[in-house]
Amino acid sequence: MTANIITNWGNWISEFWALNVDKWIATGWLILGTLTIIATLAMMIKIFKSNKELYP
Amino acid sequence: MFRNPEVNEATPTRLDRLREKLSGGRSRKASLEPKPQPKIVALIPAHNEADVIATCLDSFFAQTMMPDLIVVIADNCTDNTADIARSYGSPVVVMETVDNKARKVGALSQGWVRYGQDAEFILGVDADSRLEPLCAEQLFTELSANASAGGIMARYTFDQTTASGFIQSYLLRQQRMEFTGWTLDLLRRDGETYVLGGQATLFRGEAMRQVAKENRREAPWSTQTQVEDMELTWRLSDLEWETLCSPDSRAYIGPMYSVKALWAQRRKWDAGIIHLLRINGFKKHTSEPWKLQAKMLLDATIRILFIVLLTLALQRGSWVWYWIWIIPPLFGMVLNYRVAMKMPDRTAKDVISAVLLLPGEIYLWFSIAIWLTSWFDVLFGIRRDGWSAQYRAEGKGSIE
Repeated sequence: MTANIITNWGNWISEFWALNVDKWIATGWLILGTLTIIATLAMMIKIFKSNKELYP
Repeated sequence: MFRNPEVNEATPTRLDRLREKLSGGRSRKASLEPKPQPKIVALIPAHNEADVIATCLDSFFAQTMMPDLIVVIADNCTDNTADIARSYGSPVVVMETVDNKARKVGALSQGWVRYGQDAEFILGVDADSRLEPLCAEQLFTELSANASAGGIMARYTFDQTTASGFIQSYLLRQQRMEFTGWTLDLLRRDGETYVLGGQATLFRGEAMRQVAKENRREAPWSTQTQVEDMELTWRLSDLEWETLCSPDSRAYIGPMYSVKALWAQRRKWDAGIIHLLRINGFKKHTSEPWKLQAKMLLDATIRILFIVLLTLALQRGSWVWYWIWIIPPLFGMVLNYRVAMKMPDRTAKDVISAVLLLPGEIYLWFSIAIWLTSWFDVLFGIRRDGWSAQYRAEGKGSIE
Protein backbone atom coordinates (compact mmCIF):
# COMPACT_ATOMS: atom_id res chain seq x y z
CA MET A 1 0.00 0.00 0.00
CA THR A 2 2.69 2.49 1.13
CA ALA A 3 4.92 1.42 -1.72
CA ASN A 4 2.08 2.03 -4.15
CA ILE A 5 1.49 5.53 -2.79
CA ILE A 6 5.19 6.34 -3.08
CA THR A 7 5.34 4.96 -6.61
CA ASN A 8 2.20 6.86 -7.62
CA TRP A 9 3.48 10.06 -6.03
CA GLY A 10 6.83 9.64 -7.80
CA ASN A 11 5.05 9.05 -11.10
CA TRP A 12 2.86 12.06 -10.56
CA ILE A 13 5.90 14.28 -9.86
CA SER A 14 7.77 13.10 -12.94
CA GLU A 15 4.65 13.45 -15.09
CA PHE A 16 4.03 16.94 -13.76
CA TRP A 17 7.63 17.85 -14.44
CA ALA A 18 7.67 16.30 -17.87
CA LEU A 19 4.38 17.78 -18.90
CA ASN A 20 4.57 21.24 -17.45
CA VAL A 21 8.12 22.36 -16.93
CA ASP A 22 8.49 23.76 -20.44
CA LYS A 23 5.27 25.66 -19.96
CA TRP A 24 6.60 27.05 -16.67
CA ILE A 25 9.81 28.09 -18.42
CA ALA A 26 7.86 29.68 -21.27
CA THR A 27 5.71 31.59 -18.78
CA GLY A 28 8.89 32.69 -16.99
CA TRP A 29 10.39 34.03 -20.24
CA LEU A 30 7.15 35.88 -20.94
CA ILE A 31 7.23 37.55 -17.50
CA LEU A 32 10.93 38.30 -17.88
CA GLY A 33 10.34 39.79 -21.32
CA THR A 34 7.58 42.06 -20.00
CA LEU A 35 9.70 43.24 -17.07
CA THR A 36 12.68 43.83 -19.37
CA ILE A 37 10.53 45.95 -21.69
CA ILE A 38 9.42 48.06 -18.70
CA ALA A 39 13.05 48.47 -17.55
CA THR A 40 14.16 49.35 -21.09
CA LEU A 41 11.42 51.95 -21.45
CA ALA A 42 12.49 53.49 -18.12
CA MET A 43 16.07 53.65 -19.42
CA MET A 44 14.89 55.22 -22.69
CA ILE A 45 13.01 57.94 -20.82
CA LYS A 46 16.16 58.75 -18.83
CA ILE A 47 18.33 58.73 -21.94
CA PHE A 48 16.08 61.07 -23.88
CA LYS A 49 15.37 63.44 -20.99
CA SER A 50 17.38 66.56 -21.51
CA ASN A 51 20.07 67.10 -18.90
CA LYS A 52 22.25 69.41 -20.98
CA GLU A 53 22.33 72.23 -18.45
CA LEU A 54 22.50 70.10 -15.31
CA TYR A 55 25.83 69.47 -13.62
CA PRO A 56 25.68 66.88 -10.84
CA MET B 1 30.92 80.48 -8.75
CA PHE B 2 31.08 77.44 -10.98
CA ARG B 3 29.90 78.24 -14.48
CA ASN B 4 29.98 75.75 -17.24
CA PRO B 5 31.02 77.33 -20.55
CA GLU B 6 28.54 75.18 -22.46
CA VAL B 7 25.61 77.02 -20.90
CA ASN B 8 24.22 79.80 -22.99
CA GLU B 9 23.76 82.63 -20.50
CA ALA B 10 21.21 84.41 -22.69
CA THR B 11 18.71 81.55 -22.77
CA PRO B 12 16.84 80.62 -19.60
CA THR B 13 17.69 77.01 -18.91
CA ARG B 14 16.49 74.42 -16.43
CA LEU B 15 19.43 75.40 -14.24
CA ASP B 16 18.41 79.07 -14.45
CA ARG B 17 14.90 78.13 -13.39
CA LEU B 18 16.34 76.13 -10.51
CA ARG B 19 18.50 79.09 -9.47
CA GLU B 20 15.46 81.35 -9.76
CA LYS B 21 13.58 78.99 -7.49
CA LEU B 22 16.43 79.01 -5.02
CA SER B 23 16.53 82.78 -5.06
CA GLY B 24 13.09 82.96 -3.49
CA GLY B 25 9.85 84.41 -4.78
CA ARG B 26 7.69 82.13 -2.66
CA SER B 27 8.03 84.00 0.60
CA ARG B 28 6.23 82.16 3.37
CA LYS B 29 7.82 81.54 6.70
CA ALA B 30 11.11 83.22 7.37
CA SER B 31 11.73 86.93 7.11
CA LEU B 32 13.65 88.00 4.04
CA GLU B 33 14.88 91.19 5.66
CA PRO B 34 18.66 91.27 5.58
CA LYS B 35 20.26 90.50 8.88
CA PRO B 36 23.51 92.22 9.72
CA GLN B 37 25.41 89.28 11.21
CA PRO B 38 23.98 85.89 10.35
CA LYS B 39 25.06 83.34 12.87
CA ILE B 40 26.18 80.17 11.15
CA VAL B 41 27.28 77.28 13.31
CA ALA B 42 28.96 74.28 11.73
CA LEU B 43 28.46 70.96 13.54
CA ILE B 44 30.98 68.22 12.73
CA PRO B 45 30.32 64.92 14.54
CA ALA B 46 33.54 62.89 14.67
CA HIS B 47 34.13 59.37 15.93
CA ASN B 48 37.81 58.39 15.56
CA GLU B 49 38.42 60.59 12.54
CA ALA B 50 42.06 61.50 13.22
CA ASP B 51 43.08 60.55 9.68
CA VAL B 52 40.57 62.85 7.97
CA ILE B 53 39.56 65.66 10.35
CA ALA B 54 42.47 67.91 9.27
CA THR B 55 41.40 67.71 5.62
CA CYS B 56 37.87 68.63 6.62
CA LEU B 57 38.94 71.59 8.78
CA ASP B 58 41.48 72.79 6.19
CA SER B 59 38.62 73.00 3.71
CA PHE B 60 36.71 75.20 6.17
CA PHE B 61 39.68 77.56 6.44
CA ALA B 62 39.75 77.78 2.64
CA GLN B 63 36.09 78.87 2.46
CA THR B 64 35.17 82.23 0.96
CA MET B 65 32.67 82.49 3.80
CA MET B 66 33.56 81.02 7.16
CA PRO B 67 30.93 79.92 9.68
CA ASP B 68 30.95 81.96 12.89
CA LEU B 69 31.62 78.82 14.87
CA ILE B 70 32.90 75.39 13.84
CA VAL B 71 32.09 72.79 16.46
CA VAL B 72 33.94 69.48 16.25
CA ILE B 73 31.95 67.04 18.36
CA ALA B 74 34.42 64.37 19.40
CA ASP B 75 32.25 61.36 20.08
CA ASN B 76 33.78 58.53 22.13
CA CYS B 77 37.10 58.95 20.36
CA THR B 78 40.01 56.72 21.26
CA ASP B 79 42.38 58.49 18.87
CA ASN B 80 43.64 62.10 18.76
CA THR B 81 40.76 63.57 16.73
CA ALA B 82 40.05 66.14 19.46
CA ASP B 83 43.71 67.22 19.78
CA ILE B 84 44.05 67.74 16.04
CA ALA B 85 40.85 69.81 15.97
CA ARG B 86 41.92 71.87 19.02
CA SER B 87 45.17 72.80 17.30
CA TYR B 88 43.20 74.90 14.77
CA GLY B 89 41.99 77.44 17.32
CA SER B 90 39.18 79.94 16.75
CA PRO B 91 36.60 79.64 15.28
CA VAL B 92 37.03 75.90 15.82
CA VAL B 93 35.85 74.63 19.18
CA VAL B 94 35.97 71.05 20.33
CA MET B 95 33.39 69.47 22.56
CA GLU B 96 33.50 65.90 23.76
CA THR B 97 30.24 64.02 24.09
CA VAL B 98 29.11 62.89 27.52
CA ASP B 99 27.55 59.44 28.04
CA ASN B 100 26.53 59.28 24.40
CA LYS B 101 25.11 55.92 23.37
CA ALA B 102 23.15 57.24 20.40
CA ARG B 103 26.12 57.40 17.98
CA LYS B 104 26.05 60.22 15.43
CA VAL B 105 22.55 61.39 16.43
CA GLY B 106 23.63 61.67 20.06
CA ALA B 107 26.73 63.64 19.06
CA LEU B 108 24.76 66.00 16.81
CA SER B 109 22.10 66.49 19.47
CA GLN B 110 24.60 67.34 22.19
CA GLY B 111 26.37 69.75 19.84
CA TRP B 112 23.10 71.39 18.82
CA VAL B 113 21.87 71.79 22.39
CA ARG B 114 25.14 73.38 23.49
CA TYR B 115 26.03 75.52 20.48
CA GLY B 116 23.42 75.35 17.76
CA GLN B 117 19.90 75.84 19.02
CA ASP B 118 20.01 79.65 18.77
CA ALA B 119 21.87 79.74 15.48
CA GLU B 120 20.29 81.20 12.37
CA PHE B 121 21.84 78.52 10.20
CA ILE B 122 23.32 75.13 11.01
CA LEU B 123 25.90 73.69 8.65
CA GLY B 124 26.02 69.94 9.23
CA VAL B 125 29.22 68.42 7.87
CA ASP B 126 30.68 64.93 8.24
CA ALA B 127 34.25 64.72 9.50
CA ASP B 128 35.33 62.92 6.33
CA SER B 129 33.83 65.56 4.01
CA ARG B 130 35.85 68.21 2.22
CA LEU B 131 34.06 71.36 1.12
CA GLU B 132 35.02 73.20 -2.04
CA PRO B 133 36.02 76.81 -1.25
CA LEU B 134 32.72 78.33 -2.43
CA CYS B 135 30.54 75.66 -0.86
CA ALA B 136 29.45 77.41 2.37
CA GLU B 137 28.89 80.75 0.63
CA GLN B 138 26.80 79.20 -2.14
CA LEU B 139 24.69 77.21 0.32
CA PHE B 140 24.19 80.33 2.44
CA THR B 141 23.28 82.52 -0.54
CA GLU B 142 20.77 80.02 -1.85
CA LEU B 143 19.16 79.21 1.49
CA SER B 144 18.98 82.76 2.81
CA ALA B 145 17.34 83.89 -0.44
CA ASN B 146 14.63 81.22 -0.38
CA ALA B 147 12.38 81.71 2.61
CA SER B 148 10.49 78.47 1.98
CA ALA B 149 13.56 76.25 2.16
CA GLY B 150 14.37 74.50 5.44
CA GLY B 151 17.65 73.04 4.21
CA ILE B 152 19.89 72.82 1.18
CA MET B 153 22.42 70.12 0.46
CA ALA B 154 25.64 70.39 -1.54
CA ARG B 155 26.20 68.17 -4.57
CA TYR B 156 28.25 65.20 -3.47
CA THR B 157 31.04 63.32 -5.13
CA PHE B 158 34.19 61.43 -4.14
CA ASP B 159 37.85 62.06 -4.74
CA GLN B 160 39.06 59.23 -7.00
CA THR B 161 42.70 60.10 -6.30
CA THR B 162 42.37 58.87 -2.70
CA ALA B 163 41.92 55.29 -3.93
CA SER B 164 44.83 52.90 -4.19
CA GLY B 165 44.76 49.44 -5.71
CA PHE B 166 42.19 47.78 -7.94
CA ILE B 167 39.39 47.18 -5.41
CA GLN B 168 39.47 50.70 -3.97
CA SER B 169 39.57 52.28 -7.45
CA TYR B 170 36.68 50.11 -8.57
CA LEU B 171 34.53 50.84 -5.51
CA LEU B 172 35.20 54.56 -5.62
CA ARG B 173 34.41 54.81 -9.33
CA GLN B 174 31.11 52.98 -8.83
CA GLN B 175 30.18 55.21 -5.87
CA ARG B 176 30.98 58.30 -7.97
CA MET B 177 28.85 56.97 -10.80
CA GLU B 178 26.01 56.14 -8.40
CA PHE B 179 26.03 59.62 -6.80
CA THR B 180 26.26 61.31 -10.20
CA GLY B 181 23.11 59.52 -11.39
CA TRP B 182 21.34 60.23 -8.10
CA THR B 183 22.20 63.96 -8.09
CA LEU B 184 21.22 64.24 -11.75
CA ASP B 185 17.80 62.83 -10.87
CA LEU B 186 17.45 65.37 -8.03
CA LEU B 187 18.40 68.31 -10.25
CA ARG B 188 15.90 67.13 -12.88
CA ARG B 189 13.20 67.44 -10.21
CA ASP B 190 14.09 71.11 -9.69
CA GLY B 191 16.48 70.18 -6.90
CA GLU B 192 13.84 68.72 -4.60
CA THR B 193 15.39 66.02 -2.46
CA TYR B 194 13.91 63.42 -0.14
CA VAL B 195 17.13 63.35 1.86
CA LEU B 196 19.33 66.22 2.97
CA GLY B 197 22.47 64.13 3.35
CA GLY B 198 24.33 64.76 6.58
CA GLN B 199 27.64 65.02 4.69
CA ALA B 200 27.27 68.76 3.90
CA THR B 201 23.91 70.46 4.36
CA LEU B 202 22.96 73.95 5.49
CA PHE B 203 19.79 74.06 7.61
CA ARG B 204 17.67 77.02 8.58
CA GLY B 205 17.83 77.37 12.36
CA GLU B 206 14.14 78.23 12.59
CA ALA B 207 13.16 75.06 10.73
CA MET B 208 15.37 72.93 12.98
CA ARG B 209 13.86 74.42 16.12
CA GLN B 210 10.39 73.82 14.71
CA VAL B 211 11.15 70.14 14.03
CA ALA B 212 12.48 69.67 17.56
CA LYS B 213 9.47 71.42 19.09
CA GLU B 214 6.76 69.77 16.97
CA ASN B 215 8.22 66.31 17.53
CA ARG B 216 8.92 66.94 21.21
CA ARG B 217 12.59 66.19 20.91
CA GLU B 218 15.58 67.66 22.62
CA ALA B 219 17.16 68.17 19.18
CA PRO B 220 15.88 67.89 15.59
CA TRP B 221 17.38 64.44 14.96
CA SER B 222 15.64 61.20 15.92
CA THR B 223 17.40 58.48 17.88
CA GLN B 224 14.90 55.93 16.56
CA THR B 225 16.40 55.62 13.10
CA GLN B 226 19.73 54.76 11.49
CA VAL B 227 19.13 57.26 8.68
CA GLU B 228 18.72 60.37 10.82
CA ASP B 229 19.29 62.74 7.91
CA MET B 230 16.41 61.27 5.92
CA GLU B 231 14.10 61.25 8.93
CA LEU B 232 14.90 64.91 9.59
CA THR B 233 14.23 65.74 5.92
CA TRP B 234 10.80 64.12 6.11
CA ARG B 235 9.97 65.98 9.32
CA LEU B 236 10.93 69.22 7.58
CA SER B 237 8.67 68.27 4.67
CA ASP B 238 5.84 67.50 7.14
CA LEU B 239 6.16 71.11 8.27
CA GLU B 240 6.07 72.21 4.61
CA TRP B 241 9.66 73.33 4.41
CA GLU B 242 11.29 72.79 1.04
CA THR B 243 14.31 70.50 1.04
CA LEU B 244 16.68 71.13 -1.84
CA CYS B 245 19.88 70.10 -3.55
CA SER B 246 22.11 72.99 -4.57
CA PRO B 247 22.92 73.26 -8.29
CA ASP B 248 26.26 74.92 -7.56
CA SER B 249 27.92 73.99 -4.28
CA ARG B 250 30.12 70.94 -4.09
CA ALA B 251 31.46 68.70 -1.33
CA TYR B 252 33.76 65.71 -1.60
CA ILE B 253 32.48 63.15 0.85
CA GLY B 254 34.03 60.14 2.51
CA PRO B 255 33.81 56.99 0.38
CA MET B 256 33.84 53.39 1.51
CA TYR B 257 37.15 51.86 0.48
CA SER B 258 36.45 48.18 1.12
CA VAL B 259 33.66 45.78 0.22
CA LYS B 260 33.11 45.13 3.93
CA ALA B 261 32.76 48.82 4.79
CA LEU B 262 30.50 49.50 1.79
CA TRP B 263 28.33 46.52 2.72
CA ALA B 264 28.01 47.78 6.31
CA GLN B 265 27.21 51.35 5.27
CA ARG B 266 24.62 50.35 2.69
CA ARG B 267 23.01 47.78 4.99
CA LYS B 268 22.58 50.57 7.52
CA TRP B 269 21.14 52.91 4.87
CA ASP B 270 18.84 50.34 3.23
CA ALA B 271 17.48 48.89 6.47
CA GLY B 272 17.01 52.41 7.82
CA ILE B 273 15.15 53.60 4.72
CA ILE B 274 12.91 50.52 4.56
CA HIS B 275 12.10 50.84 8.24
CA LEU B 276 11.26 54.53 7.82
CA LEU B 277 9.13 53.84 4.75
CA ARG B 278 7.13 51.23 6.62
CA ILE B 279 6.47 53.68 9.45
CA ASN B 280 5.71 56.69 7.27
CA GLY B 281 3.71 54.94 4.53
CA PHE B 282 3.03 56.68 1.23
CA LYS B 283 3.19 60.48 1.32
CA LYS B 284 4.29 63.10 -1.16
CA HIS B 285 7.83 63.16 0.20
CA THR B 286 8.09 59.37 0.46
CA SER B 287 6.96 58.74 -3.12
CA GLU B 288 10.48 58.96 -4.54
CA PRO B 289 12.06 56.48 -2.09
CA TRP B 290 9.12 54.13 -2.70
CA LYS B 291 9.78 54.41 -6.45
CA LEU B 292 13.41 53.52 -5.82
CA GLN B 293 12.26 50.44 -3.88
CA ALA B 294 10.09 49.45 -6.85
CA LYS B 295 13.06 49.94 -9.18
CA MET B 296 15.25 47.71 -7.03
CA LEU B 297 12.52 45.07 -7.01
CA LEU B 298 12.37 45.25 -10.81
CA ASP B 299 16.17 45.06 -11.15
CA ALA B 300 16.36 42.13 -8.71
CA THR B 301 13.46 40.19 -10.29
CA ILE B 302 14.81 40.55 -13.82
CA ARG B 303 18.27 39.34 -12.88
CA ILE B 304 17.19 36.45 -10.65
CA LEU B 305 14.57 35.31 -13.15
CA PHE B 306 17.11 35.48 -15.98
CA ILE B 307 19.63 33.29 -14.13
CA VAL B 308 16.96 30.73 -13.16
CA LEU B 309 15.44 30.55 -16.65
CA LEU B 310 18.80 30.43 -18.39
CA THR B 311 19.92 27.56 -16.17
CA LEU B 312 16.68 25.64 -16.74
CA ALA B 313 16.71 26.26 -20.49
CA LEU B 314 20.34 25.14 -20.84
CA GLN B 315 19.66 22.06 -18.72
CA ARG B 316 16.73 21.05 -20.91
CA GLY B 317 18.47 22.02 -24.15
CA SER B 318 15.81 24.54 -25.08
CA TRP B 319 18.08 27.59 -25.14
CA VAL B 320 17.64 29.75 -28.26
CA TRP B 321 19.45 33.04 -28.84
CA TYR B 322 17.50 36.00 -30.21
CA TRP B 323 19.27 39.18 -31.30
CA ILE B 324 16.50 41.29 -29.78
CA TRP B 325 17.98 40.46 -26.37
CA ILE B 326 20.89 42.75 -27.05
CA ILE B 327 18.61 45.83 -26.99
CA PRO B 328 18.30 46.28 -23.17
CA PRO B 329 22.09 46.07 -22.57
CA LEU B 330 22.61 48.54 -25.43
CA PHE B 331 20.28 51.05 -23.80
CA GLY B 332 22.05 50.39 -20.50
CA MET B 333 25.37 51.28 -22.15
CA VAL B 334 23.98 54.51 -23.62
CA LEU B 335 22.45 55.52 -20.29
CA ASN B 336 25.67 54.75 -18.42
CA TYR B 337 27.64 56.74 -21.00
CA ARG B 338 25.38 59.75 -20.55
CA VAL B 339 25.72 59.62 -16.76
CA ALA B 340 29.49 59.09 -16.98
CA MET B 341 29.83 62.18 -19.18
CA LYS B 342 28.29 64.19 -16.33
CA MET B 343 30.66 62.84 -13.67
CA PRO B 344 32.67 65.50 -11.86
CA ASP B 345 36.44 65.08 -12.45
CA ARG B 346 35.64 62.63 -15.23
CA THR B 347 38.45 60.60 -16.78
CA ALA B 348 38.59 58.24 -19.78
CA LYS B 349 38.66 55.30 -17.35
CA ASP B 350 35.31 56.42 -15.91
CA VAL B 351 33.69 56.46 -19.35
CA ILE B 352 35.19 53.12 -20.39
CA SER B 353 34.08 51.53 -17.13
CA ALA B 354 30.54 52.86 -17.62
CA VAL B 355 30.26 51.70 -21.23
CA LEU B 356 31.61 48.23 -20.47
CA LEU B 357 28.49 47.60 -18.35
CA LEU B 358 30.02 44.68 -16.43
CA PRO B 359 31.60 46.80 -13.63
CA GLY B 360 28.28 48.53 -13.03
CA GLU B 361 26.39 45.26 -13.27
CA ILE B 362 28.58 43.64 -10.59
CA TYR B 363 28.00 46.70 -8.36
CA LEU B 364 24.25 46.40 -8.98
CA TRP B 365 24.28 42.72 -7.94
CA PHE B 366 26.08 43.77 -4.78
CA SER B 367 23.43 46.46 -4.17
CA ILE B 368 20.62 43.97 -4.81
CA ALA B 369 22.11 41.54 -2.26
CA ILE B 370 22.24 44.34 0.33
CA TRP B 371 18.71 45.43 -0.49
CA LEU B 372 17.29 41.90 -0.24
CA THR B 373 18.99 41.16 3.08
CA SER B 374 17.85 44.53 4.44
CA TRP B 375 14.22 43.82 3.50
CA PHE B 376 14.56 40.37 5.07
CA ASP B 377 15.79 41.92 8.33
CA VAL B 378 13.01 44.50 8.43
CA LEU B 379 10.24 42.04 7.53
CA PHE B 380 11.39 39.54 10.15
CA GLY B 381 11.97 42.19 12.81
CA ILE B 382 15.73 41.66 13.02
CA ARG B 383 17.32 44.83 14.41
CA ARG B 384 21.04 45.35 13.93
CA ASP B 385 23.25 48.16 15.14
CA GLY B 386 24.22 49.52 11.73
CA TRP B 387 26.49 52.22 13.14
CA SER B 388 28.48 49.73 15.18
CA ALA B 389 28.84 47.42 12.16
CA GLN B 390 30.02 50.31 10.00
CA TYR B 391 32.52 51.57 12.58
CA ARG B 392 33.96 48.04 12.88
CA ALA B 393 34.11 47.59 9.10
CA GLU B 394 35.89 50.93 8.72
CA GLY B 395 38.35 50.03 11.46
CA LYS B 396 37.13 52.80 13.76
CA GLY B 397 36.37 50.53 16.70
CA SER B 398 32.93 50.35 18.20
CA ILE B 399 30.88 51.99 20.91
CA GLU B 400 29.11 49.54 23.19
